[in-house]
Amino acid sequence: MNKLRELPAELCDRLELPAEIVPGVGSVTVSGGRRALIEGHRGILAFSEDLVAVSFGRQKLTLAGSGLRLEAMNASELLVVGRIQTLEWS
Amino acid sequence: MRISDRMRGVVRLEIFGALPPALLNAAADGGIALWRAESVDENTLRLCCWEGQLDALRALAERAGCEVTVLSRSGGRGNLRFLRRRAPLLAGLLLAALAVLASSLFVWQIEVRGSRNLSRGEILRALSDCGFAVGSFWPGLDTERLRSEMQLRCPGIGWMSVNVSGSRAVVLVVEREEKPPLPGEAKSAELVAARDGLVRRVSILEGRAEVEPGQVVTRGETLASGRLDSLANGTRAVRARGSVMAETWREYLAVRPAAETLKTPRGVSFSRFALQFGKRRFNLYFGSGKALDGCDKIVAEYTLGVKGLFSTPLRLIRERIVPYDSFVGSDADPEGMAERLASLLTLSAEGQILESFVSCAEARGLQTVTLRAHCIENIAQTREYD
Repeated sequence: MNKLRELPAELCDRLELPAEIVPGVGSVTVSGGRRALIEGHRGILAFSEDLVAVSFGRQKLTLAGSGLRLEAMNASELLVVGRIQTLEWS
Repeated sequence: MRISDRMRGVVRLEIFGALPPALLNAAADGGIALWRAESVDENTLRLCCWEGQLDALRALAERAGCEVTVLSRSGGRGNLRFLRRRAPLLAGLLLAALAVLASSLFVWQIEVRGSRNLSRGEILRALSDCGFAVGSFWPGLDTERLRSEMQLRCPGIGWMSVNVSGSRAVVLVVEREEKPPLPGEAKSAELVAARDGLVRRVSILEGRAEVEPGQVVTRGETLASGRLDSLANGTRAVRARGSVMAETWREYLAVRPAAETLKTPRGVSFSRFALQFGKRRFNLYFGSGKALDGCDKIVAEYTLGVKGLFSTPLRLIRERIVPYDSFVGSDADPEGMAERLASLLTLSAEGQILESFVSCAEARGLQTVTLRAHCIENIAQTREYD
């Protein structure tokens, strides 16, 4: 079952296509450790000054740092501003 | 904050609940824009949203079990409430906006560009005679007709265009170029001496030289003739060309009174103001008819409008009155006078000053500064035959 779920991403890798075209795959762009643009999210799981957890469906992104705040958000994009120290995909 | 944001209205909120991120997700799914979200503690968030989306956010918060408290509002309905309480201010703003809109249909400033020989005043007078002046209604302007009339009034104008932006008209003028004479059309001429001198070098390109190096010539004397002997038909007339380098002696004299009336500032200067609407002036002070003896008046004009975009007929005029005391004294500056005299001494490209002397004398209440210069220069000047 897991293999079937991984199939689209696997295909993208093999065909050297951008990963963003696979549904449910998000992307993060971090600029200078102060701003992170998160695209394709499925919702915020947790939000505090030190941690922002974002859902991507089957995956979860955790940003840890200090003074974090949501500069802007809509249904698919999030802009997190603050001192970003770690990023974790799980 | 941008004007568009201010018009729309922004609300700063505090959300308290068991799971504030759930409300953020619901709001994002519901198309409610949120920004500047900060976490106060585990159960409290502060964020901003549009005033118009506040009710929808409250409804979502109720469903998510959160409490919404408005911390501050800026713009939007707040602006309207502010203006509702100040109806005269609103009326004044509307009137001012209408006045600016109406005044932008008239020309309040005319700028002339591109003229070299014709003065700005001449062009403005001609424009005024053609019916285009400060206060003209520019949407009714017929540029083609104006150009034709201007060319009739000022034959020196080759082409003209009027560009109006806001209340500012830019008149672009291209002056007519004089056609240079063709070699065959040029009148026959001779070269004569422009000033007295001792000839040092003669170089005639066309015509017959009448002087030799070492010869002394006086002003107006023929240096090269334009009439040549021809074997076929007697005399042939040409336009003499060339250069005759000669040593010349120039003398410049400047005379000024040794003592004259000078000014020194006295007391405190003050300013007074006036408003000018179109051509009508309204003084914002009393006693405008009084003569200002013993005072300098420095005038500055400020046009109401945005520079380069539009201007209004309203001008603020500031007059700075500076009282002064006059006394008889001398601020003689012979070196400065000599420098100014030297600036009059202009020679052609190949000419040079060999020596120069400055002398200064004072007699009968007059100060005289004399500049004498020994130069070598081209003294040839073309004189056409009648």
